[in-house]
Amino acid sequence: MKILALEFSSPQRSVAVVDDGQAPALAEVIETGGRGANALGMVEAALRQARLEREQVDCLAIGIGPGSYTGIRSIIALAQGWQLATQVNLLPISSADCIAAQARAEGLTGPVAVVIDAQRKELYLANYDLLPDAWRATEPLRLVSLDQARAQADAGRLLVGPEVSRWFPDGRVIFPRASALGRLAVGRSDFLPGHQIEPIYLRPTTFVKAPPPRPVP
Amino acid sequence: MLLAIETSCDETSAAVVHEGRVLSNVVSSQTALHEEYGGVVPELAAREHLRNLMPIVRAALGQAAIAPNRLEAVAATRGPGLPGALLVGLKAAQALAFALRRPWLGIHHHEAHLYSPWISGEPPSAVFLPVQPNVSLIVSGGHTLLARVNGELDHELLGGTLDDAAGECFDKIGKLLGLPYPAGPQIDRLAREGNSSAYSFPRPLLDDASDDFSFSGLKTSVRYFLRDHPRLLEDGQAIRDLCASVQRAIVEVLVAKTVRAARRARVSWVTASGGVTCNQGLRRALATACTAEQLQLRLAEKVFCTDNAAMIGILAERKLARGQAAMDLCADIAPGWALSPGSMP
Repeated sequence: MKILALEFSSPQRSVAVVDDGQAPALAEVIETGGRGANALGMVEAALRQARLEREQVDCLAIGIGPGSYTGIRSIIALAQGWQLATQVNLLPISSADCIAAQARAEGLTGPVAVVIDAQRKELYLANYDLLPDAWRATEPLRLVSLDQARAQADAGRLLVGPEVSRWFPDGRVIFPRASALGRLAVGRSDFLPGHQIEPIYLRPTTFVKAPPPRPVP
Repeated sequence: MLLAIETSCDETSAAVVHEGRVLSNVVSSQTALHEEYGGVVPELAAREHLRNLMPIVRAALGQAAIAPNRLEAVAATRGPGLPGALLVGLKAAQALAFALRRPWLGIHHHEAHLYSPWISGEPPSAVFLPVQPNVSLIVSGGHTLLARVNGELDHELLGGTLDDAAGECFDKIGKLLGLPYPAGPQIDRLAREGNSSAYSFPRPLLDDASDDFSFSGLKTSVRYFLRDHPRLLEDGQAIRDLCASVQRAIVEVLVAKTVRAARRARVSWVTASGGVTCNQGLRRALATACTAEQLQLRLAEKVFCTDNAAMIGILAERKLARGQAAMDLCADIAPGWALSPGSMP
């Protein structure tokens, strides 16, 4: 199965092509900066590197955050358009899992906490144990304060994430990479129709409601 | 055969057009979602577009009895609009075009509105060839502007609102009156039972030589009036009179400035579109004024007044027919794209 992986949840966006029969990614294109408008340009470049035609793609693996809503929504919409055209399979994957997998791929082992900017002085945080040949989630994603994240570091966990050094100088900067995302998709078949895929929303909406309408006498 | 997608604000729409005929035009409105907030919440609009887009596109393709691989081109609204909302439709359209290896066009929402009054009939078809030179009023909750259309794909912006759009003014005054969102249709309904001469409100920029509009002062005037007359809100007839008076003030400005621009531009046609063009008072007043001035009037049918993908598709098809090249599939959204000719994001 040819998997095209798209990870746009962090300031570093990437697209990779992974073949489930081969361990390393066939191709990976990485961009930093800008608004991520060049998604299809990156897709074309990755496919070209992998010597594949777009029609050969069997599955799109999509990083669904948490993270930049703009980046995540742009690739979900992209995946929806692609599926409307070709019925390609879509597989949403947590970007926190992707960071954990990338951390292990970069040689880290032991307990880590993945932290992702949640704005408003809060972070998304999930705990993982990284083993030499695998990783496993130990506590699921949740919204935490900076102090709560600091407590994780004080308890001996290495904090990792795309912007971790903004708050924790001792943390290790790890971006969610499309190549790691693609490998997470290998062997999976829990595909979803595009309209059921949405970014991971952990914070309840708190928009101000209007007073109830006043009946006209 | 062209598929068009429109997601510039709070309506998710998809349409299939072919040689000027609208084969399908499916619109899903988010009004009920935003009603409890008293206005469009951009974040909620983006979330809803992401949920609605695929079913709406499939419905449009189904109604047109078209398989995706029979599409010859894809278009989407590129701007202006809410960034998060535009992004969903634009990226999906680009990917659809990419996967099918078809040309893609990003369309200016207001430019499409210039042609929506010329879509009519059953099934709806564009009847604007040859395009009659006209002055076009586009008036909605987000925009109020006047443009001169010299011919097909040839227009110039004459003026626009300096602050609130007319529809925004209706909605904000409706909020002051405790009316549900969107208040424009409510005010229009109540105004029919009211005396439009009961209260006098300013007609902003009515005598100004420019083609610009300004409605925030009118809204403030109503706010102060209600502050000074709080008991009015307990009197149903007074509310109806107020709605009629406010509507008359807004409509008089819109109509007078539109007709004056048409006279100055020496055109014999006036067109109007945008959500506020559904307002019965405005439609009547435009008809009366144009008759008096011997101007021909084309008002967009109500389904094409509000945001719709059919007008996006009609314009995109004309652009392709006139030789416009397909756009780069990496073109970004243009939330603040001006209507002025040559204005590119």
